[in-house]
Amino acid sequence: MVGYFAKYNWIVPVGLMGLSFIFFQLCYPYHLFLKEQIQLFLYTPDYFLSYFKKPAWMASYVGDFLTQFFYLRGGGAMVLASLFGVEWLLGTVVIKRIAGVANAGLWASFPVLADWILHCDTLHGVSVSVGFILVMSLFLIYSLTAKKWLSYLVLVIFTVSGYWLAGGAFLIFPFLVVAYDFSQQKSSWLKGLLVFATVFSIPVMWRHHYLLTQIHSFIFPAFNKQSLFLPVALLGSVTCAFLLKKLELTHTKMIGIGVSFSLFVVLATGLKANANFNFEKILSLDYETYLGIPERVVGLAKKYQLKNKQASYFTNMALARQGVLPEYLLHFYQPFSLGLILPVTPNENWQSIFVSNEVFFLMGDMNLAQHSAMLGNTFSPYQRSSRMMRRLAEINLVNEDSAAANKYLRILSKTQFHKKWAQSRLAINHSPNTVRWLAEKRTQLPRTDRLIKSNDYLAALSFLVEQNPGNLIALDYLLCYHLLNKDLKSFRNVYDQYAHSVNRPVPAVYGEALLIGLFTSRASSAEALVYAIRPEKLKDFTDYTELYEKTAGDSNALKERFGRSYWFYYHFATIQKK
Amino acid sequence: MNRYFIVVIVFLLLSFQACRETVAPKEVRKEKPAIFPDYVDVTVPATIAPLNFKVQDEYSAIDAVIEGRNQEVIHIQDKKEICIPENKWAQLLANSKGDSLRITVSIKKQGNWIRFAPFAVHVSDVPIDYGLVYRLIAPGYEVYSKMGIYQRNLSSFDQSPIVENTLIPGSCVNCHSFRLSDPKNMNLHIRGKKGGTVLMTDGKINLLNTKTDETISNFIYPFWHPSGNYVAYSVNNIHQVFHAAKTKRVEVVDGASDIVVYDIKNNQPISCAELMNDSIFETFPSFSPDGRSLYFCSAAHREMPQEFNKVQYNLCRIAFNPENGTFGGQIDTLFNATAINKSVTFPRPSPDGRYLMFTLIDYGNFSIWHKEADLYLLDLQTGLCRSMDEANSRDTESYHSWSSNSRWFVFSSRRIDGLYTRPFIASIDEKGNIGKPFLLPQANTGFYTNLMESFNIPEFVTGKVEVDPNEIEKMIVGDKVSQVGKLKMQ
Repeated sequence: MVGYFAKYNWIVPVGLMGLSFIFFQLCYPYHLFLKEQIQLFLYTPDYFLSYFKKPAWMASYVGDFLTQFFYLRGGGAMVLASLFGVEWLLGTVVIKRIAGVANAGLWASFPVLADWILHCDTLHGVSVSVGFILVMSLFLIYSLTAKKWLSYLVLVIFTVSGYWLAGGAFLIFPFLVVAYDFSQQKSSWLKGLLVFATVFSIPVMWRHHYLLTQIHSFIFPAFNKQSLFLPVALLGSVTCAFLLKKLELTHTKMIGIGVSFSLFVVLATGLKANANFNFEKILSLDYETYLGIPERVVGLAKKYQLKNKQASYFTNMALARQGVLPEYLLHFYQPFSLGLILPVTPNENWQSIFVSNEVFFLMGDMNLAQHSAMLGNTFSPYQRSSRMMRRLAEINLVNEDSAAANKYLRILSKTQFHKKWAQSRLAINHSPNTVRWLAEKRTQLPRTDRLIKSNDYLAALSFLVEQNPGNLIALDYLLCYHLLNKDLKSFRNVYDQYAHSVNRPVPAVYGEALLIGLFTSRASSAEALVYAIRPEKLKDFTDYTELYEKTAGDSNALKERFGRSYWFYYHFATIQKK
Repeated sequence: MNRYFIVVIVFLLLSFQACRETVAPKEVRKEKPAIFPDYVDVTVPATIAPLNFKVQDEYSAIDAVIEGRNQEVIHIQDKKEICIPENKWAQLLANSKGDSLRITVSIKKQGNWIRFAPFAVHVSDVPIDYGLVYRLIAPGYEVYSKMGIYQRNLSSFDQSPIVENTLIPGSCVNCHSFRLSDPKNMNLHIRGKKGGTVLMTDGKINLLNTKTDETISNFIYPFWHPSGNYVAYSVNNIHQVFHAAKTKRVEVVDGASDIVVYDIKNNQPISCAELMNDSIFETFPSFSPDGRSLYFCSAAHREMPQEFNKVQYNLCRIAFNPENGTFGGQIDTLFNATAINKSVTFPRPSPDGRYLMFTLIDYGNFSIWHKEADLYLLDLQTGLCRSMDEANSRDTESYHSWSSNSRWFVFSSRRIDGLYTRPFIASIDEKGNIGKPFLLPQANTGFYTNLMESFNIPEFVTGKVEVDPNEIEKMIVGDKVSQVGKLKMQ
């Protein structure tokens, strides 16, 4: 093998691996964390056998095995960089074997870059990369088999079993075989035809056994057709290297520079098109929420200032956990009440459904949390999510349903990285009252029953507050829900009934909303005094009113000083439909 | 070379044999072992798959001696669980029909063997049907993600899909039903943007659009007429709502519901004023084995969901004439559940016509999420009704189905973890005596612990369901849907 690379500059693979590691570790780590959260890798024989229900069992099993390391900080970047290194190594040998070019190492970088770019998508799994590596390995075994009869035997075995082992990536195998045979001047049309026919007919013939749609049978284990770019990039590299072979003999340097430049352009344009850095920011908020660090969520939200309902959702939860939601609500983008609770409907994407349980768990509505977590698990791409499993275990611990909690915890005990967490929770069952978070959560539970429609969040919030007026998080969510929907009447009713007696200074947003209500109802000073609104708020309100009248409601004139006030929101916030 | 190979193999086999320890118990307990699944003293058919189990305790080794008639013995020792070889088990059961197996279990703890009192597995000489058909789905929610309807051979651990919605993305598959457990006459619904009711009659598949202008929904809960000429369906305006209390989870309520009978030959739904009464919720139809009565559940209309816990269904019957597809003019109440402040769901008559099994809950019709849901047995000869305590548990028992010979029934129960329904099978004799139910055996004892799906609507089938998924897929994707005719009111 060394002979293949002795001439090459090791800068290319080391550079690719290093750059990709830096990219995924520093610029894109949260996508990789999510990839682990939507997976669950168990060390049980049953789990292993479950992979045989679909094609690409080896690619899928190894891919999922590697994905579990994405749980570790740096683990995902390390795994991907290593995979890219292996892809480059094998790709170089494949190109060298077929095209016999000097710049094989550069050409082999194209599929690596394609995989790098594809991994920016949460649905592009490691199993696709492993499948690709498997296919290249199978081809190299075939091409390195010297004895003719043995190479035929190898070809037959691989042709029949390749799809079963590696999935859709195996469709490039016949192209590689034909190209290799052609380059060795031993091509046989019959052999090529048979290999092509067999490889392409296997997905069609077996798709009903595997219960896959036609398209899915050709791309499995990938979810998206764009994952095909990976094997196609190798074919493209082989073809180009082959076609430019003669030119390369005389213009080696020029070809090298041209290919290097193309690599740079491909990477730059590919990342621009496929890397979603905005979503990465949202995922960072999500991840810190998952870890339970609200200060970090608020810090990141301040830094990013995203105008996105999911970003608002995580920020609002973090503010609520810190007890300052009504103080800083309007310091962040608020798309009416959509940033408070993410709806769980068929129109929502799976990522939104996946995280929708967080707020219900925070507020203490365990049934809606369970509903969302169940759907989060079933709608996630693999229908087995470590994160949802953890949440379902927690929900059932809070509900004192130890049989159900133990089910999830026992499953998690069979993983590598969630085992410790599960065992600590299993121990809770023996002494639940000593665990503070659990005791606190249980105080939030309603004592009576009521039926609530799945998306009637107002009814759910109202019921939580009715049942437990001391549940400040639910109370703040209910009040903010009314305020963000500009329903001042309902806000005032809830405020008077539950929030007025809460022992805390009147939060900024509540004070501002109360002033509007008092002003419009022409309340007396004595009535206003009851609410103990901060004096500076009264002065601000007077100033706002004067400026508003003076500028005839010019939002630009008001924005600088009052842009974060409820008065400004009340006057100027509108729903913009996309 | 070959000689060496054989020597090595013989040596390895002897080594494995030698691995089995002699059990010399230091402690002999008087109580029977607590095993999972609980197969202690259960009654099983002679063709059931091996009852693999483990003891619910910590141990370093487990040993089981299974003794049958004529001193036949299977002896197994393992570190984790007792997995019985299928062939030996099948032979042992076949030779022990009408008798009992005696199973002696020992476990090794801290280097010492502990032996438990032996327990029995009664082997019935009454045959059971070929297999079960069920849906596997995440528990209880309106899910259009991955799900499927599967069949399982009861004599082995073989499970194969009949249809999975991965084949028709975005669809929901549900409500499979068979004419007297006949695998060639099947109903199932595929819901979604593209879909319909798949009706297989004598092996031929049709896809139906069952929504008509006169009915409030597509056909929903099915039950075949024994002649195979009709299928009774409820039509329901369904809503899903959630409980706030931690002990309850989800409720499905009907805003309105009626019953129609689909005349297969004439491609026409038929009904009568008594089954389409606006002031009454009618649901869960089922035909008597002679085909001359239609049982159903009936409740006074209430405002939903506000009065969800005031809806209580009685068990009712109306005459049906299969010759001309007409209904009697009178509704009889067979079981007045409202009188005892209860509600009936899933009335299922035994194929021999002697009994009718149903589920009893406090209110509503979504018994699957009611912890108080229990099975009841109504003797149609004497009119006596009793709780099936031998089968019931403290948790939910809900959907149930009779075997074709009326001597076995399968039901779904949440007794294991309170969250996921699992299929239990029990024997029942001519006098209504019920054997201890047993959990559908699986190849390994961790199967149910690791499974994240519920077994939904377990139904017996007398043979393998031969369905070509390709045909269903082509019909759905190609929109080859036949519209059912206009509702004919009597």
